[in-house]
Amino acid sequence: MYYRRTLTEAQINQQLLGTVLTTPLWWIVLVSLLGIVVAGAVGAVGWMINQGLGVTGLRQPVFWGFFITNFIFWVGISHAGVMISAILRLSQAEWRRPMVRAAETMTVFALMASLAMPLVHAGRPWRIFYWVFPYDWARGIWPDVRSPLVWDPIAITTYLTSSMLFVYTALIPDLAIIRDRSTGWRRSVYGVLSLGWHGNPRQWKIQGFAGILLSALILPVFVSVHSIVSWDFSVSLVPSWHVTIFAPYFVIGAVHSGVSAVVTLMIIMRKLYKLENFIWEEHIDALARLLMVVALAWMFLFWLDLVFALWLREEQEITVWMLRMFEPPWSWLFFLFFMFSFVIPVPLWMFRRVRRSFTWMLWTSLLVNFGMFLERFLIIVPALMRKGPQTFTYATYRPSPVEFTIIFGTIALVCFLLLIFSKFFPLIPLWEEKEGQLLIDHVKVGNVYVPALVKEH
Amino acid sequence: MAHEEHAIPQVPTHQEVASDIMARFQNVNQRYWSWVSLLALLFVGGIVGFVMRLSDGFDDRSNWGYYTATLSFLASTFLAMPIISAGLRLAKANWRRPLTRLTENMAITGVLIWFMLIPALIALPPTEGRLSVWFDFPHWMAFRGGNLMVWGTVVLIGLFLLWLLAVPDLAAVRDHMPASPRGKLARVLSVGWTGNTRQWRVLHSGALLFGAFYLLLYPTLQTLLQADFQAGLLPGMKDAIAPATALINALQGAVGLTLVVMYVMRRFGGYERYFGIDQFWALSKPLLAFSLLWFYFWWGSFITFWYGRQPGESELIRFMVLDSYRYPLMVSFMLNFIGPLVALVWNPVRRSIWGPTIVGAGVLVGALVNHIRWYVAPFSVPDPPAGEAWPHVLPEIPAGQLPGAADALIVVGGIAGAVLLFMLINKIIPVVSMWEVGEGLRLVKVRRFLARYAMVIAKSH
Repeated sequence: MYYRRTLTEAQINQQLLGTVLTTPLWWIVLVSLLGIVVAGAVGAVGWMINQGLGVTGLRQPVFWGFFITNFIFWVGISHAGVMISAILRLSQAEWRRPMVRAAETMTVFALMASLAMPLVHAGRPWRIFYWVFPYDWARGIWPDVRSPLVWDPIAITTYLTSSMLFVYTALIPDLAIIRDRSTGWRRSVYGVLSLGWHGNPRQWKIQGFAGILLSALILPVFVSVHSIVSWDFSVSLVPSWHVTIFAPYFVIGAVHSGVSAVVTLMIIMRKLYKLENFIWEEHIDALARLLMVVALAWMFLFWLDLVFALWLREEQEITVWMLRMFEPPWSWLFFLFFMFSFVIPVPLWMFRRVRRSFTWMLWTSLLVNFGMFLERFLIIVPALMRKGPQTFTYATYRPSPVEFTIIFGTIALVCFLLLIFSKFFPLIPLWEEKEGQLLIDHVKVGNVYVPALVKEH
Repeated sequence: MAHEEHAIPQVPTHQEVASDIMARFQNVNQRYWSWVSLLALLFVGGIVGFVMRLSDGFDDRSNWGYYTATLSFLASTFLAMPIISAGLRLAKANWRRPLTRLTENMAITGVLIWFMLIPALIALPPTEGRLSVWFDFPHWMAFRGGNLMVWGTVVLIGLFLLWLLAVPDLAAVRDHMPASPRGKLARVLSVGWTGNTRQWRVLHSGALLFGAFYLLLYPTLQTLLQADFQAGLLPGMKDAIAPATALINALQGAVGLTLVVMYVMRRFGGYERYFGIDQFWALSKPLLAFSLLWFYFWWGSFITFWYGRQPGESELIRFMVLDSYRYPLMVSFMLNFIGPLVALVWNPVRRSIWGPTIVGAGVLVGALVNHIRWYVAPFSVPDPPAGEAWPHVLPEIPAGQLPGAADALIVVGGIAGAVLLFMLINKIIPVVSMWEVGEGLRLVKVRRFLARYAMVIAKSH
């Protein structure tokens, strides 16, 4: 029952601008701690560049490890922003309102984290330029534009640009509110950023139109990004990678992990910023229902991937799947992945009490993301270990402390950036909340009043 | 919905709606019987075509390609329609109310589809020596028994949903037409419904539960259809995405068919006030989404095969895309992707009666052509010589197969049979749900919103 708690515009301003206009102590402590972790990761990257990729666990025949897993993981998380914001905006789902800004912002920072990973993975980051510039002027060797590895950076930077535009367009009315409540240099900066917004009907019309248009335009980019990432794998002939289902499987998996990340973020935000008046049980419930549908679709595609992998009865294909599913330590990881991303959370979400519990939802959403990280890891490493019929080395891949430090660094980086963002901009859009309040009503059915909404098409 | 004009929207009462629907239900005019007769004639023609094929036996599987294409088309459009009502009910979309019964009534076509499945299964070769999702299961227990069971379960759940959700309306028919044969049938089918709280609770829970079952089982049906009748017969076909593609295409076909049937009921049945702009507009959005997904899934498969360039993949692309079946693919590409995209991207087209209807009709034609490509092609691949295992690469590219007279009769007759069953069930169970529309009216009120009047819709939990 949405919008059972009504707030005045002044209350919304006061509660949502609290962290922007003041700085709580916990914020300083948290930012400092995360900053230290990020600095540690930057140091690890520097050391790795100095010493070479030998400090990682990458060995013949496994040359894609934790970094590429992390790259896919963050691209996956970035799918939450568009899933929540664009699709729910286009479908006019009212419960989207408190979560769109945080989801969109997380998209931007997750994409930044993901873009950093191929740079780190290259060992010598300057070599990345060979992807976009001629390899050798004299011999006229150019990057192969037919390769998804070249499409990747193009798709991700397009997605990053459009996501930033998406966030910014929706921020403008709120920037004007902060401008009107600030003084000094802050007022000047917000004044420039708010582009002279006064909230007249023409501006609202343009802003609304831009929101819808961007939502529609960003959807193909959203789908293409993870599809292209999947084609990095499926257009090759590595066993268990060369499958047609990878594109939708990766996209739906990304939505699964991304929406779970939004749940985690919303619950932590609610606690830290005391947003109990804006993020309710109903919102988490709606997200959990969405997650159930997404998880079932993901499971359907996973099942198809498995069945059709065994379909041709090719020895190499079966070898890779046997390795994943039955040989330790991969089988343990497989078991954990399967339990965490589907078997434990989905049945739990069937219970209304779980769906409406912030504690349960926090832990189940964290489980999903841990499981989905493992899933990407299991797609990459066992396949590379058995990619050739005559692999003469069966050395296993074991991530080194350097890789762990860098991976944790990216998690800290995204949290760090979100906290910095929240210091300057509200994490819940004020104007969306106010618009939502306008549409509240009740209808009397029998002896009870049922919450109702004016549906504006 | 905010009103364009400043007039106050009128919300009819439950009583007015029930009387109107009941009056239309009771009216069986000459035009109805003319259509029923024509469809029955075409259906008989289909049976003649079937008998002609039967007389040739099952040895030459290519004779049964068009038959299987018809079966898959029916299973992917008519039988997919209950998903629309189950899905929209789970999503609590208020605009669904006038059209849910229409989609549920289509479940009756499952009876015809299940019987049509039997000869198609007989036409399939044994699983020994060839690739199959049934792997090493014994032949009969595997794809024949398994298919019959899965398809049968889907059909039964569809019929159960149809009956369960019609019980309150059947009780109304029982009370208002007691003396007629239809009233007597309604008395039996309404199983003593009086509308007490417990009965309503059972109805709502049952609808959600069995709707969810239908949603979960239908993808399995599509997986078996695709795996047993297509992939298992095409050497080199390792296309994990194909069942998901078939599912998306089925959903697209179901939405297209719903739009066309709504238009027909509106134009010829006098149901304008139930199948209005809201329903067409709302359904046009998923139609556009499914059309985009149609391309996405097709492309996902194509690019992997194209880059893979394995011998089996190259031959399959030649057979299904570039050579023998390129024209059916082009027709389907235009009608299932380009046409809907170009038309439905515009809001004025989406927000019209004619726009989504024309696109929906095109989608159905495209779907039929695509099903012909999907199932006639694999049925035209000859068996390997006796004693040899099935190859992993097409030994030679068979030519595209055009329909014969018997095939044409089967295609037309099969579709006519499904429509005929739908028309007959509409005179046993009202095509618009009186109780569901009435329930929706209780959740609506009109209020002033800024300078206009708007409908306010309650979200019941």
